[in-house]
Amino acid sequence: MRVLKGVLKEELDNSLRMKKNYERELARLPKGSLIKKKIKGHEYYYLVVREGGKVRFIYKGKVSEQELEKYKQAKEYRAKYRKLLSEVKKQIRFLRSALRGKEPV
Amino acid sequence: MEKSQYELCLEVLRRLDKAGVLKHIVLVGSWCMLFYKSYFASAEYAPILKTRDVDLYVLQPSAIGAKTDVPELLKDLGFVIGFTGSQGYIRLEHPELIVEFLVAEKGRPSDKPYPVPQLGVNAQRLRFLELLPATLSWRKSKTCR
Repeated sequence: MRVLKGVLKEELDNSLRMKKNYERELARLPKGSLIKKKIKGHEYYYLVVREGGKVRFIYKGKVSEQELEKYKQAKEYRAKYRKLLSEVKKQIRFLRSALRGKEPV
Repeated sequence: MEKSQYELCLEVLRRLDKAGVLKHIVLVGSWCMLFYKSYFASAEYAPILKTRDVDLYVLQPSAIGAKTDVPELLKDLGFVIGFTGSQGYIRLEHPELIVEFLVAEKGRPSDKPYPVPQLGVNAQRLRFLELLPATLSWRKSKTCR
């Protein structure tokens, strides 16, 4: 029983550390996503960000391919990291309840 | 064990193989058991309980010629870099798997990590690890050796 508890405790520590790391990576990604608007035949880019519950459109004008790629990648990684972070949170809940039993952890 | 965890482990090994790194690395620890399954195919054999840590023993860091950024190689699989405690060795973390790099500790004991710039990681030093390759077993998987 002790061995099993030890393994579960180690896994819980790993998951807690992992949660912090995913949150750190999410915070590092550039905020918002770029959208393209066509105005009078010309294409312009806007950065869409959420600020205090409100959606803001920040004018960016014409952006380079590099910047477009940067925001595209950031969007993909954000979705991936959020999904994995939610998995980690589920693991933490499960491990905490498995370890707790009737004793305080 | 979940299938996704096994598949993820294979994908990590596959990518290391493709990058030409796997030949410098030996899979050690509890994840070996998984590959022993095929080795002991004729006998009744069930892999033991294991944690998420996949330990990769870097045989001779100085022998690795080309530089490979392993954290970048595995980034799109969802692995993030985790620095462990005050020692600062790198682990690549994913909810299903944690990839750790080990090197054999020689000489005076040290709790400092061992930088392996060829792989872009800091490895953990472990005493007597060099004894393991004496009983090395080569397994061939679907897409990597």
